[in-house]
Amino acid sequence: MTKAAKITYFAALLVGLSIGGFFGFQTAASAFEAFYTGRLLTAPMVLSHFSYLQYSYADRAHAQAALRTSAKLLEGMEKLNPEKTQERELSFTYTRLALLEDAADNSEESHALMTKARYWFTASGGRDYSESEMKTVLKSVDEHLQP
Amino acid sequence: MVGMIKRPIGVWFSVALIILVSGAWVGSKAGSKIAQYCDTRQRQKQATLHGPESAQHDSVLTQLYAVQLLQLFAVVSQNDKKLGQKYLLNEIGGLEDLRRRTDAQEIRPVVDLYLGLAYVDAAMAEEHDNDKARASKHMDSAKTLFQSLGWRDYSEETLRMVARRDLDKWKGQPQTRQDGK
Repeated sequence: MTKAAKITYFAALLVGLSIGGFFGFQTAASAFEAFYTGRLLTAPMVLSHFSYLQYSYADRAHAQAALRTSAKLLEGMEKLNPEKTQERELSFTYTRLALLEDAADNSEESHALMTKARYWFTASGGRDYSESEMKTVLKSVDEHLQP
Repeated sequence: MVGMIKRPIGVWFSVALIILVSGAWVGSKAGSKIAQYCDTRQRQKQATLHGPESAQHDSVLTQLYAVQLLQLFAVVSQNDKKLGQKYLLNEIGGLEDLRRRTDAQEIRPVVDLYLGLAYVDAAMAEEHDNDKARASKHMDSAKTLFQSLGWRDYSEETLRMVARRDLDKWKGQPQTRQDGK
């Protein structure tokens, strides 16, 4: 093989490796990015659906357990990746928990939960509604969703 | 260059092209592996920074994503009967697997709820196909799950209505208070 041939083949190999490497890296990196973004978007949706259905159809103990599980998971996600949708969902979750406490005449516990609900609602960029306003809004939302 | 000209130019060009394409193929595989390595490193760094809690939440996020994807595939393929059935059974299988996993116990009630809804969807599809035995089996499985989830009313009518509303939500149909009744 001549020197010119060696140079040509080496250059072809180098160019091929560089182009392939660049696109291979980009494709895989975009796939990872889409996966992580997708996870962040879908997790609050799944938890929201779960806690809403449990709140609407399950007995008090199961509804409370579902809402507490959702709140715990959402707060965990929030610590790692603060997101407005998670914050809004957290405020609804705590409001629903407070409504359950209201139904059981635990006004102190309800107030503590509403403090958290208001905190998360304002953190998500929402107005600082009063406890009763937030409960009314959520009740009407739930009523609309109810079959 | 004189050496190269001695042979037909087509041969040299073909050899160079084969090397270029093979190089690109190897390069793309290597690039993908490098991206994977970088991602793993970044995850490890995050885990070191935030502790084991971070790894746990990472796993929960992935499991919730899987739950949503399984449902999504089953819903979007519903217009095609065969494909719809295939993905519905795939959803049931995937959720049953996830339910058994020891690292998914934290979200087990979530998986149970989605699995219950998938059983109801399957039962409705089988009833439509006059496969009453399978439909009844799936509906019974759904009832058992919703009972364990503490539902006050887990009658067939309620479960059908909730499942139907869930499907309508994906199809983008408006949800009114009369829906499913």
